[in-house]
Amino acid sequence: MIPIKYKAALAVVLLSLSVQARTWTSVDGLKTFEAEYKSYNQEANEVTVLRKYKKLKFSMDVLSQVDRDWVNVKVEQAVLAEVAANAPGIEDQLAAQPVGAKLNNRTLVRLDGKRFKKAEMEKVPEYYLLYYTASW
Amino acid sequence: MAKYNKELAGNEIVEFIQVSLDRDEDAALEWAIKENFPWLQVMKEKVSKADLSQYHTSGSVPFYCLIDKEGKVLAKGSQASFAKARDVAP
Repeated sequence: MIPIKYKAALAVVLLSLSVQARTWTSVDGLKTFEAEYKSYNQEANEVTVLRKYKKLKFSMDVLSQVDRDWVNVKVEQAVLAEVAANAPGIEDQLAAQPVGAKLNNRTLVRLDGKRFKKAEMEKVPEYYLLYYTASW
Repeated sequence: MAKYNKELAGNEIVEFIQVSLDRDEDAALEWAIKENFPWLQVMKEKVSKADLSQYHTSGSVPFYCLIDKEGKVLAKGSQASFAKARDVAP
């Protein structure tokens, strides 16, 4: 299920995904044609394809169920990719933590061969197990 | 080290951090090399900056303390801290 806020974004954003031509079939199964999927406009319920270097637009309603399912999968993949691309990075997530913000502020080192090297956290922990110690 | 490898290595939600109280960083380094410590460390000179002094309520070392990301203390001491870390692990 696609969250509403992403559906809204999809309504105005043309999502280009595939670069390979595929066979499209009409809803009655009688006609087929080869074309490359370009995008789907949810508001208009329109699919855009590229056929012989020419853009064609047609309603999703004229496509077979298999084709409609295929387009829906592509749209969901695009949404997930967009969510992942916009997700805050490790640094931003740590900065939002009281503990992570201070720790990741150039206080950490890690053994690197024969020396300590400045280090940063590579994950966003929920918990920290602090081990206070000394060599003596 | 064995306990870390067995219980915390690869844990995605618990970060193990050694807080070195060695005044002499060379001594800390020598020890780290000898034991091949894999984890992140905070050297003594950075302990205040990292705001970690507040959790070291024992006058001795080693001392373990499990805190959450907000800085709330969940357990103190080796046994309690590792047990709690096991509890919170997915």
